Amino acid sequence: MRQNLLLRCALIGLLLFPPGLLADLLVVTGEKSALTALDKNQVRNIFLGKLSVLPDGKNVIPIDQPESSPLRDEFYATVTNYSAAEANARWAELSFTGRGMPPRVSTSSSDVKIILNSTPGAIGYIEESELDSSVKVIFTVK
Amino acid sequence: MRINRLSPTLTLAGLLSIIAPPGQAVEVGGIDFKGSGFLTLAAGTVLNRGAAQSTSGYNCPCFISDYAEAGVYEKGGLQWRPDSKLGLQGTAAFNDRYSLTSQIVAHGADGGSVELDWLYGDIKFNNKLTLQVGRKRLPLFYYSESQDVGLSYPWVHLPPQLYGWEIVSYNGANLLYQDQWGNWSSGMNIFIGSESLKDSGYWKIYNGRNTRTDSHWSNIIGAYISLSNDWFETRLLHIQSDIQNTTPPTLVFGNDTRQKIYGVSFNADYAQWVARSEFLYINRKESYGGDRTQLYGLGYRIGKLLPMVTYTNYRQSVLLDQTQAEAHSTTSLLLRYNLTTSSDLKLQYDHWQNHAQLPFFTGSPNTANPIGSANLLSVSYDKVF
Repeated sequence: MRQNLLLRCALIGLLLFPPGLLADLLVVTGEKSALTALDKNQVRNIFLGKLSVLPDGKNVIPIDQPESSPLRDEFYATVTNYSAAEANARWAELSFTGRGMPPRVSTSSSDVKIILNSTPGAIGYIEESELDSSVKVIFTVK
Repeated sequence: MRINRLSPTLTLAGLLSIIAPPGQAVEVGGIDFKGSGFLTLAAGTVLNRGAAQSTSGYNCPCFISDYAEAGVYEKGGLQWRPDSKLGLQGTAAFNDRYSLTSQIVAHGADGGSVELDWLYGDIKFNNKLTLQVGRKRLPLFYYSESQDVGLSYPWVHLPPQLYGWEIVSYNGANLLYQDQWGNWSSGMNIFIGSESLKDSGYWKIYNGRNTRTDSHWSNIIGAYISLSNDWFETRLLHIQSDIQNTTPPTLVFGNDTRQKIYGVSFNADYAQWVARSEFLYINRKESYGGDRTQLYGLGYRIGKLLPMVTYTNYRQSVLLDQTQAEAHSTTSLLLRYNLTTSSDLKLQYDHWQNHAQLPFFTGSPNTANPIGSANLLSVSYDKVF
């Protein structure tokens, strides 16, 4: 009886959270970027407009996924504890009061990689399946 | 500052806002132009029963939602003007160090007339220190600078007991410093300037809808520091200025008296909980006395929904005759729904309660409106673009 219950729970879990959605989400930068690693708090603060310069003086510029992307929702919910909408409300507060500019919005993960390699200090987030040699991983979102 | 008296800046602000499509930068002659905007469409109705009575030219009981623009919901049907607004912002970046930003806003409460709320130049000394010179919002409270951007705060309108003051902008200069100390992000702002406001909306509420009063805050000097970690944020503020109000052609009150403002806020976003609190004391002992306000708000996120309850309180102290002091509070119930990442819908119920002997707007014992309260139901749609 107990084994049946566990099996049912596992099946429900798989239906609700298919393995594809549980893949790692990667915070990346351009392959020639001087950035090497960030911690979760730094990534969070960068994408909420609280941090634009790292302790070593390096400038850092966030790049967002498109507004409709589920990846964007997952990233903000996991890393910042805000929904993408709440994070955008915070950026509205900063950008209309002269205290920051919101992240540049890309059109896709491929576009994120192109922007990262043409913008010094830029960081973005992509699915694990989009990782290639044009970018390097600086934080892994579990 | 109304635009029709500022045709050169109108041209500049309009150009900056219109040249660039929303959210995209356009390069013209080596200058990057970027345009963006915000919109709030709001409607509300006063729910109190019984006959209306005229107070300062308004049909009351009524609910004051925006002191600075004289945004008042009156008794008698659905009204959209008090909280509706449309703003356009344009930024011209000359290079990494120098930029110019303007923001024009049309307030429904002010009959839709367009005002220049922001026009300032940025000089970025380095990645942490920026000098801004020009016209900006005065950062009296946590949401003061973004008070026109409905998407940036939880409510349909900012709690009036806290955010209700005569001066909300200034002309001058400020130094902005942003840094990271361990797990704490910090922001510091030091500012100086002055503001002369003709035909103050705030004073229409007190002196009468059809009166004109000019307000002047001169020798403004102030600073705030904000600190935040991953779930907590605090902000400390102090401002001093000289104040003077004039009712043309001759009457002057509050003649060049010095005021001292002290504010502190504590905000938390912990797991699904949202907490907001703010406290302010204004020392106006050289004039009538002083003012104290408090705000407490608590909400809980449920997916895209945010139910929230807020209580704000205002108490005035008057040196000569305390029976003439104002005292009132508002309790608000809010439901916010995030439609998209850049738009939301809000539904809010406010209960304004008068605690003073003065019949201020909502009546008091021994008047035709002995209840001394006003109830407002309002909805809004906010968007940034």
